[in-house]
Amino acid sequence: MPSSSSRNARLALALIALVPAAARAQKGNESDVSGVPVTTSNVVSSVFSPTLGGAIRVLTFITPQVARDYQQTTARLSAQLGSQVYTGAGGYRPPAATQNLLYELMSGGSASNAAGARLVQALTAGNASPDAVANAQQLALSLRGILSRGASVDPRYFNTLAATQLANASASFNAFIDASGEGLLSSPPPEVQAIHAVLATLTGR
Amino acid sequence: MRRGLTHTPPTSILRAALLVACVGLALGDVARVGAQQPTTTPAATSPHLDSLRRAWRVPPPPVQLITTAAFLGAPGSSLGNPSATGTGTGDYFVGAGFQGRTRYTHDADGGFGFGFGLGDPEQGVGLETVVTSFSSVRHPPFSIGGISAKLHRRFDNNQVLVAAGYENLASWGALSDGGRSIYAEVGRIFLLRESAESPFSILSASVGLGDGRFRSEQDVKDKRETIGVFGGLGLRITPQVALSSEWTGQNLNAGFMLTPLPGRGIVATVGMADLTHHSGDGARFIMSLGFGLSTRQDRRILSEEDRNAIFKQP
Repeated sequence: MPSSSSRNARLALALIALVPAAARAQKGNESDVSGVPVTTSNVVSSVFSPTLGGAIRVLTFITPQVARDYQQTTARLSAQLGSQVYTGAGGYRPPAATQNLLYELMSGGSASNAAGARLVQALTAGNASPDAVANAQQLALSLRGILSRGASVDPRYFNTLAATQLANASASFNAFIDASGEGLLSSPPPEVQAIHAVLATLTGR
Repeated sequence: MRRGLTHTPPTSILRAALLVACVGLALGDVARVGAQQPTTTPAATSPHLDSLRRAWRVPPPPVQLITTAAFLGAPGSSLGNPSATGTGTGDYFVGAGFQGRTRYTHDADGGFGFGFGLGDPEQGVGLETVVTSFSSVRHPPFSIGGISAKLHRRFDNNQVLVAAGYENLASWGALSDGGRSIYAEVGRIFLLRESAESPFSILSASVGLGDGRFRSEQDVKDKRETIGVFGGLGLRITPQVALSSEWTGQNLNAGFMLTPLPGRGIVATVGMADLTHHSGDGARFIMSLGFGLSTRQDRRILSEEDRNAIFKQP
């Protein structure tokens, strides 16, 4: 008669033979952890280890539809100012020379530098204090190329640069207004009225 | 009277200025415009002047400051070590790993898992929790599995990473043959180029300590409760391809991480494990495929122009 221990040994060998080799292989050799680990987000590590964070703050248009509208508005404004037929939402139509000035500045082409200087000159004609000139220069800088950048807006993207430039232009204009006196605001030059109308159009108001 | 004039609350001005100032920290050309805020020295105010100013101001633009993932994709640890960062609230992922053969066998093996994050790794601490199904090539899914967790934090514009985790803190079916492991690690991301699109633009490095599977193979066999050292380097070659090499505590793994659609959350890894004779029985093929999703962001992504502007001034 076989002993109990030898029976157990034969039973163990029989059981081992019945277990698929692959299943046996999964034990004792650290097979679960010696490949790409699936115990952390490593399998998508570059998604959650962005250089600048999974949570950077950017400025963008409120919705893709707003971005699409902005793109179309800037393209339309560019065409209208370029041909001096722009009329603001309230019916205000800037003089042709003013429209051309804004077109050159806002298109950002080779003429935009000179256009910016002319705008600063026009805005500070009655007040050439350093602060007034600085504000006018800041406004001109913020408007430079705004239409060409807006025309390249793609609703698939955040369009951070375009959104930032629009915010900058609005803030710069408002800062210029806040620093202006009663004389200028009571009887503003056409450039102020035109920029106000264009920005109101761009902001969709 | 002027046409198209609107009355805008003064707070809108502050809001707009705040937006500009915030973005001005991050963007390039346009941000520099914002960085030079206009000089505002209001003249003496009167009710009439206030009224005029309110009338001439433009309303706030239809923009908003949002939180989004840059998805610049610093090459992280993917070939054997846990990464030093992870998910936060609103982040989810699924992924699978595969080995052409396991050590000392000719048999393939693989596993898959899914996870999510809680918390904010930038402002506080992120907690990543992962449910894993091990040995899933020949065993039914989740017949062997475990739950792992990792706490992590990012500092210094997300370029310094710190994490501590517990692999398989809970398990079922049978404990993973990798056992339980506790680890802690730090990582550092280096920006090598001014443009995110430039080749060889990002280098990441990490080093950590851990017990369990991070011990040498001999220590594991001898059941010595030691602490192992692990670490790795990752170099982003192009926005789609990164090269990574890692010492797992037992051996050297190396391979490529592929992001075929940058910004879309799909990451593939192909590489070789056990490249030295410190453990195992020779080099083995490994690969993985994963998909990550952050619900904190909307469906838009950063354009190349935007990414470059941000990359220059993190």
